[in-house]
Parts: sequence; C-alpha cells; structure tokens
Amino acid sequence: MHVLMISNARSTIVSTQNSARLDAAKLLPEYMFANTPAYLFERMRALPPVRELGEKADSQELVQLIEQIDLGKKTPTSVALAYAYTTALSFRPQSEVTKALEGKKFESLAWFGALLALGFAASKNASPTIVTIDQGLPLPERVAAPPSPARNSVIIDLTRRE
Amino acid sequence: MPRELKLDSSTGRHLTNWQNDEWESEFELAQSIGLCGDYLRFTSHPDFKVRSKSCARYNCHGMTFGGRRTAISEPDVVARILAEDAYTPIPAETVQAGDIVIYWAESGDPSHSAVVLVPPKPESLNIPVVFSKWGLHFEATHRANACPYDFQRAVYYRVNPE
Repeated sequence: MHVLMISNARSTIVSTQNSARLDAAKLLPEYMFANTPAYLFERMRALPPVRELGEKADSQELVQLIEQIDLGKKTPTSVALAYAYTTALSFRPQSEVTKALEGKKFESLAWFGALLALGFAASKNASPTIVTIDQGLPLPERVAAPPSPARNSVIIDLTRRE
Repeated sequence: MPRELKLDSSTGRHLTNWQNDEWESEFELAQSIGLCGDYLRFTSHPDFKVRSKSCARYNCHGMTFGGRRTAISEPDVVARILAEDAYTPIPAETVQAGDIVIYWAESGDPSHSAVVLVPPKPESLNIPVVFSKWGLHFEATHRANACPYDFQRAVYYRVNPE
C-alpha cells in the first residue's frame, strides 16, 4: 500500500515587522482593477510578499491588522492592504484562522467574507491529507497534481512516503 | 454595510449587487491610476481610449448588466443574469456591435465583461474592440485582449428574449 502525503509545512514566525514588507503600491492596482473577489484573491495570492506574510505572521496578527483598517478611516490603499492580509490568512491553518476570527465582523470590508471563503477553500485543498491508493498504481517519486478546472486550483506536491 | 439596490433579472428575481462605500474620499481613487505601473502599458495601445473617470459605484458587470448604477461581483449572479435574461453564446463569426463578452477565468469566475464595439475580423486577428469598466477605475474602449483580464476563455453572448 502506498501512502501519499500532501505536504504543506508552514513557518510560524511572528513579527509585526513582517507586515511592513507588503508594498501597498503594488497591492493597490490589483484591488483597483478587480471586478470580482475571485480575481482579487488569485492575483493577491500570487504575490510573493503576500505568501511570505501568510507564512511568517500568524492569524491573530493578521486579524488585528485587518481590524485596525476596518475600524479606521479607509482609503483605497488601506482597503487593498486589508484584502492582502485577508488573502494571507489563506496560508494559515483553518483552525487557527477560525479561532482568531471569533467574535469578529468586518462588515465595512465588502469582500472580506468572500475572500475568507476562497482562502478556506484553497487551504483545504493544500492542508495535509493522507490518501490511500491501490498498490498497483505506478507513481513517480515526486509529481505535481494537474491544474484543477474547479475553483481555487492549487498546485500541490505529492510525495511518496514509504 | 454597502448599499444595495432593488435590481431584478427579467424574471423578477433579485440580483445581489452593491455600491462600494469602503472609503470616504474619492481623492485617492482619482490619484491611484498613476500607481498602476505595469497595467499602464495597456493605455498606450492605439485603440485605447478612456471613456469616463474612475468611479467606485459600478464595476464591469454593473456596466454591462446593471445600467451603471451598481456593482455585480458574485459569479452565480452573473450566471443567473445570463440564464434569466436569455443570453445565448454566439460564435465569433456572428458577433455584432452591441453583443457582450464575458472573460471567464479557468476557475469559472467571470473576471470581466465588456460590450462589443467593433466585431472580431480576420484582419484584426479576430480580436474585437470593446468598451468595459476596469474595476474601480475608468470605462475604456480597448482591444479585447489589451486589458488586465485574461481574454483566452472569453465567450460572446447575445440576448435573445422570447
């Protein structure tokens, strides 16, 4: 019996300074040209600084940053940042995100809920999963899953574990 | 909370929509086009012409389907409009001015929509000239593939009410 593990190791270094690495000027166009949350999510999630932030800051910190923007006077730039933080949550474990969001409602951010749902769907696809398959199926040592036609396709590594 | 209009499809069913009120000042919106860096390459195309100033009230689907009154950003709402208003997919050879085009993402998201101005012709490599609203930014006339949205999976539609 072969066992496949979909690897999703994440660093959990926490530092508020990580947030400063996001260049708002690069985030703003993605927000300004977005007609749908899915477009924004895909564009934001493809930005290396957003991924890096999601890997280094924890959900609590990201939620605090979103909350600061939600409660403050908003500009297009600050809303773009809020949506970048929301997208960064998609790189965090869903249980950690859910706990950090307890009692929080960001109703002034119209796409927060949609982006969060897209993030949960993406992180669900990428979370560690054990898959049992037939012995006879030939498998390379390391293959990439084909792009899925379904929403939120995520390229994942399938690594054989003996 | 964003303001929502009473907007129905032709069958009388409500269409979820919203008017962006995420920030208080339009100043940064007007200034932000200068920060759109790489996207500005589209504006240098000979067919490109801005038709309106940047405006948060409506997006591309709000322009195409909502009379420029409000934004429509949920994929299932766009799908319902196509079905309930009796839009039919048409081949490129039959496209006329006034037909619409939806830019479908691989995920199934309707990332953009536009209205055909000059139909696709072999001499223009079957790329039409369209007009569309670019997110929170302006309306522009442009070559259909010279914009921030992926034209590869675009589908033309014509409304055919019974």
